[in-house]
Amino acid sequence: MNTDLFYALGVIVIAAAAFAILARLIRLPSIVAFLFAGLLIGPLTGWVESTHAIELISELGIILLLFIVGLELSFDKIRDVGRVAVVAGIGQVVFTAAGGYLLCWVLGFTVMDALFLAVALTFSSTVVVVKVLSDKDELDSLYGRIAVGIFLVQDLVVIVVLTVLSGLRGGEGYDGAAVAMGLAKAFGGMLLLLGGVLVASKYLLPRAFEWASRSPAMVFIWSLFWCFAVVAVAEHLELSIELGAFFAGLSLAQLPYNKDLQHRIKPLMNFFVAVFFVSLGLKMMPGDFVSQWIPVVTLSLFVLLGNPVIFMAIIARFGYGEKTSFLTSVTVAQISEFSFIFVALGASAGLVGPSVITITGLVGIITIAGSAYLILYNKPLYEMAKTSGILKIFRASQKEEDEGNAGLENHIIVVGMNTLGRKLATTLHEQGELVVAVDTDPRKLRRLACKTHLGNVEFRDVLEELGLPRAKLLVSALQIEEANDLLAYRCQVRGIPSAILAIDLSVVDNLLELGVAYLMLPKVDGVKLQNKLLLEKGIISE
Amino acid sequence: MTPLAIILIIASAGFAISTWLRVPVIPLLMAGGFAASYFGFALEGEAAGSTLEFGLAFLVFAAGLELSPRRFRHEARQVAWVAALQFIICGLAAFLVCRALGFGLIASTYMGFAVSASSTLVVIQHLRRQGQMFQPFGRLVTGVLLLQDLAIVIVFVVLAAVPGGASEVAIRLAWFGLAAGLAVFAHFKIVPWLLSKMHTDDELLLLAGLATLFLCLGITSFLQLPLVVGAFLAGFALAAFPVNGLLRGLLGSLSSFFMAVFFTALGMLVQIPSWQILGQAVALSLVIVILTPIVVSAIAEFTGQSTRTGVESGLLLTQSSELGIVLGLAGVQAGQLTGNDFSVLALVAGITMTLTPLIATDQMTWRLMHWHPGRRNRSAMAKFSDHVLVLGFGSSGMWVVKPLRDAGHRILVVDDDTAVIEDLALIGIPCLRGDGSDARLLNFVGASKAKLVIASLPRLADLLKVIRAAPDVPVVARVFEEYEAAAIRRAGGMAVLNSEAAVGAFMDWFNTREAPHTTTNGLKKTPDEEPPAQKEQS
Repeated sequence: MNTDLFYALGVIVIAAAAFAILARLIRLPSIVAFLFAGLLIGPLTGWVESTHAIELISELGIILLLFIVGLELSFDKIRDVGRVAVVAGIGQVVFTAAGGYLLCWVLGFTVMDALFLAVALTFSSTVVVVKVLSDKDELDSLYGRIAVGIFLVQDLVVIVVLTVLSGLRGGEGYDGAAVAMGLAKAFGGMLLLLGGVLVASKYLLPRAFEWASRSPAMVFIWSLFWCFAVVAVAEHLELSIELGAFFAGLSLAQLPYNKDLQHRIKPLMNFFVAVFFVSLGLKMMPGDFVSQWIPVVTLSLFVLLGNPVIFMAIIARFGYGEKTSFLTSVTVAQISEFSFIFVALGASAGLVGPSVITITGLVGIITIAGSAYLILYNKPLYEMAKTSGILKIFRASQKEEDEGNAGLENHIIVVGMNTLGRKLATTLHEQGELVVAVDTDPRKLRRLACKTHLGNVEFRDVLEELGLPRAKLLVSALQIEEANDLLAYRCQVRGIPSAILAIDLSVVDNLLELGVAYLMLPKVDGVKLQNKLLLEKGIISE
Repeated sequence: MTPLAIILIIASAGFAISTWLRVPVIPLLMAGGFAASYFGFALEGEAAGSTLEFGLAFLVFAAGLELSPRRFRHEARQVAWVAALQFIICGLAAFLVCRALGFGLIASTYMGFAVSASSTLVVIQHLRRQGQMFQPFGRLVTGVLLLQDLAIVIVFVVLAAVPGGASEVAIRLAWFGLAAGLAVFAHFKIVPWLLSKMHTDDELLLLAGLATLFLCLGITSFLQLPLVVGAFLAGFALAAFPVNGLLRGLLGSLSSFFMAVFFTALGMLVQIPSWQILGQAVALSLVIVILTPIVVSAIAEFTGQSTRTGVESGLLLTQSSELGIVLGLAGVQAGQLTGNDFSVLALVAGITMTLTPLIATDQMTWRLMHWHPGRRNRSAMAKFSDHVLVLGFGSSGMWVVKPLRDAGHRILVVDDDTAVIEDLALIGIPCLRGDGSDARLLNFVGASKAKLVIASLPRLADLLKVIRAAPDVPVVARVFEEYEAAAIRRAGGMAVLNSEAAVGAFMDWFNTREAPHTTTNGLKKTPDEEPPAQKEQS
């Protein structure tokens, strides 16, 4: 057995899980828990050291993270983002970068260190905010939608910055011509790659994935292959692997399977990303903690307070109400995992020193933790800020937007589009019920008049997207015992009534124990229908 | 990233061909790995070792996760008998054949154990593809496979300790017992307690699951037990419902990923086979293909399963296990097997896994059933006529039979379940044990002379056979899918669509919402109306 790698990975995963459990108790985001776990098992105790193999596994995490970000970026979402996201997203990047650079310059950093730190401060974490908003069930609220739009715009800025960095890494030092050449090469390569994947997304991928969709496992493996193939091409073009992964995701985002793919890839990403964040903690230098406390505290305060102020000022100009502007602004008070990747790339290119990694890591821990609490308690905070009168300086409108949940409510979820499922969904829909039909096979969802959703209900996130907590009933026509048991359990935990297909009598007891409200027994109902037929033909009597 | 991209292109091609030709993906992945290695691409050194070990750990972990006693508690006795006897008899036969082929004692022992169990991955994939997971033989074989996986894990412990002598084997088995005891305690006590105390999301659950895996790997490594033991016990520790259900979805993608990487990398280790190796592999494959159906069907029938269930189970289990290949790999790493021995095992797995979809078919089932000694004596002339023939009693048959009896019809029930037939005989309903789609049996029970045939058989092809066997008799067939109903009508039968009936009943419940408590859709009957199968349930 490769003992060293197994030992290191084992300690990383166990520490990540233990810290994530502890973090859950104090409602801290898992990313912070992973960084602390890395600090504990690395610099503080010396149990684990970052090795090449761990670096490779971390790299897989980054690739999959960027791949998923790309998968989320459908053209519909880009349209929904609108003007506010573009202006606020880019405006915040400009103002935060300028303010951050000025602050770093005042704190005495070199030009390159100040530049990297300032850029690192501009990115907000899509992953952190989406996760906290999802936990609060406010992802579909008005402020949630604006925030996600802004983050998507920032993700595009990230890609541009990574491209620039690719050019700088390719260039020789600060030789202007070489850097310009490197940038030109990087942008040329980027355009080539982007053009290639967009052509593929229009002409190649839809047909290929349409064929592959007959097997969910095949769709998953093909998408991974596509991701790593594009990453390999990006490497060949001397672009960052992150860029390749993002473009691969972007090209698949336009397919109808993108949501399902995200759910399938997410567990894989969660595993590798946890290793990435813990390994980031491994690299921090405890010696710098004490010596760097002034920039760390100053920059953290700048992100926690400065970013929301900049945002509030921009969003209020778009006519949104004071409350919506405030709630949206609070979401951006943290730096992102891309900040870590960005400074790590800068360090590996020899452009910045290791202290920049440590400072960014610490600012990350403080701002991610701080903003998670800010988002969790955003409404009481708004009331406090409103009462104190400090929000008046933004001159935002006092109108109250509808920030209620834009998702489904009082609907019926019908799972499994076999003959039974399709008939149930159609009958309920014709009766005027709000019905969402779910299946993993897109072909089975065709020609249904009700709402449809492609996905595997074994994933918790799919049930969240289907609005299970707000549904009035879940009906499963699946002929898969394990999946039905799990659905019944999840409904029982959430107090949602369920009607489940009992494949045969051997599963009845289990389902009854799980509090199923109605058991569908087609075999029994079929006999009743048959007897009715025999009665009509005079073969049996009443 | 290029090596991973190459492995993934092989895996993508493997999955595509597997779906297209409807053959298992494992031999295709291994063949792809072998081809890549032949053309000069191979994982080497630490990368190869780590890839194989991680892949193995995840695969065995996923297998252990399925080992929930709750799953096959109704068939526990049959499952235990079939699993144990197939493992022993097929293993012993393979051992003897290996000795006859000139393999050494240790190599023959490895080979015997490696081909004694069947492949969980192949069989589960086949059952899911055919929609047969919950048919009687589907339940039987999944239980058998999981117990055989456990047996192979114990074999790993024993064979790894053999070089140290009997005392070492005893010590390792004691350590295994300790680790297994901890896993059982975690399965029944710790994990359910933790789940009741914590509200976890997917990320935390996945990490907790993987942390359990690594913790168990650490414990078994400390106890000097093989890697697979830790992975399997970690899976078992988490195999209690609902934890296994919650984890299955999350681990599904990880398992697919590692399965693809593992078997492709494994294929890269296979050497170019000589004619001698090919001959040995074919000989061992023949042992599996000939012996397994006979042994499994005989044991299954002996323990009370119907002939058809036994034959179908036997045909479906006719391949060697992925864990057998891994056992071979462990033998190579321990210096107890040569590269050629490993190639033989890999080829046996490849041959038998590829043959599975060709062997486990309805046509083969019928052919074997016709050769079954107990079934040849039903060639007497039909002595039944003007009766109502009920083919397939199942769990709801009493609702069919009672009104027919009340109306004064002469009834004959045919079912392949021993327990159902015994119960019917007890209450005086004429019945016969057998397969309702067997042409000889249909002739024997006078299907063509009946006044009515009522059929409830799981396969459309069987129902169509019944309609053909009784061309002038009205045949009522209950089916689930619309396309099945259409086929029945085209063939001249009367179709009752169970799903349509279920929709009607559901809508009645939904619209009235009269029952605030759980209703079982008319199942709650008075005891004297309860059909035999329900009595068994209660």
